Amino acid sequence: MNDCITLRENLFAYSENELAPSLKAQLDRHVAVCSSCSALAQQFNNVLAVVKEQSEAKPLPFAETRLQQRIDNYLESTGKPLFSFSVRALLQPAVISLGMMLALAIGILIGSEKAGKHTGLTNATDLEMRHDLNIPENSNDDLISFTE
Amino acid sequence: MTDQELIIGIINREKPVIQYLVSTYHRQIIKTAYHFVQDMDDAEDLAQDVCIEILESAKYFRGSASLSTWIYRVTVNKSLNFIRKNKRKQLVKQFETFFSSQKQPGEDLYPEPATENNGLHHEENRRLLEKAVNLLPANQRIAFVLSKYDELSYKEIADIMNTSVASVESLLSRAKQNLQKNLISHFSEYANKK
Repeated sequence: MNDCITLRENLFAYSENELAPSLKAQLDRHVAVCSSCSALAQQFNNVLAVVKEQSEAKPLPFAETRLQQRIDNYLESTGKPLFSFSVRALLQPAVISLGMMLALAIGILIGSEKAGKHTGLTNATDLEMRHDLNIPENSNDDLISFTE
Repeated sequence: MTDQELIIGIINREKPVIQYLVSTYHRQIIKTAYHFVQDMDDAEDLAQDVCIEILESAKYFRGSASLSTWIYRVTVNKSLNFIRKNKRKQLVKQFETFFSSQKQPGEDLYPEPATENNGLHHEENRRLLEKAVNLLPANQRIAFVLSKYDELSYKEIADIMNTSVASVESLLSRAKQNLQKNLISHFSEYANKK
């Protein structure tokens, strides 16, 4: 029973042959006669064998090529930008504001052009009305300010 | 090519130097990342992150440790961050599994141990070991993985972890004790279930 406890306390070292020779020999004798400790040592060895196996793991084929390609893509995508971040941070709102102002100016221009055409029509009507009311064409009087 | 020449070439984004870096260190990076994350595709993705980190941070490399040590450090940090982020995903997956198959959450935490008698593939032993290693505290896990999987010396591990050789010995000893305890406990549970 004591050897069962000793084995459980030193299982790692026992499996890796790191115990003092006398203790190793003592546990070897115990494992040879104790079925549960023998099974435990076997299970533990099976699991530790995976460590050895995984330490020899190799990268997948062409891993270097793929990695090199990814790094190249990264370097291309992060090529030196035209402006630094701070300059871009200032320029971006300025460019957007200018664009909006330009759009506003174009809108005003189009609007005033239409208004001008409309004013032309009004002048023609104005002349007709002056003619109907016998008001001289070159008179400065307003159409609506009738003189008695 | 010396470490210093490599670093200067990386800072200047010289393509042949970067190719040399990838060619020289890709195996080391992928293997170490794989030993932490246990998936080769994830390890390759991490290798890309590690290389980019090296390209970006080369200007801060002071040469107090060797380039290889620094690359190990970056790899370990990236791998642990990856595992941390993935834990949430795994929780969601366990949650989904619970509702889809009515399994107890955590039932798959430890698979059945593979023995000669039960005929299970060693894949189960791999998963069992992976889970047990992931239960170790971060420092013990780093020391264990770098020692047992990457087969580095205590001095190399101490340099990577920025600690003393004595601390590495202590971490490894505790890691082995914890791993042994976790595995024995699982074996006993499994034997009781049978």
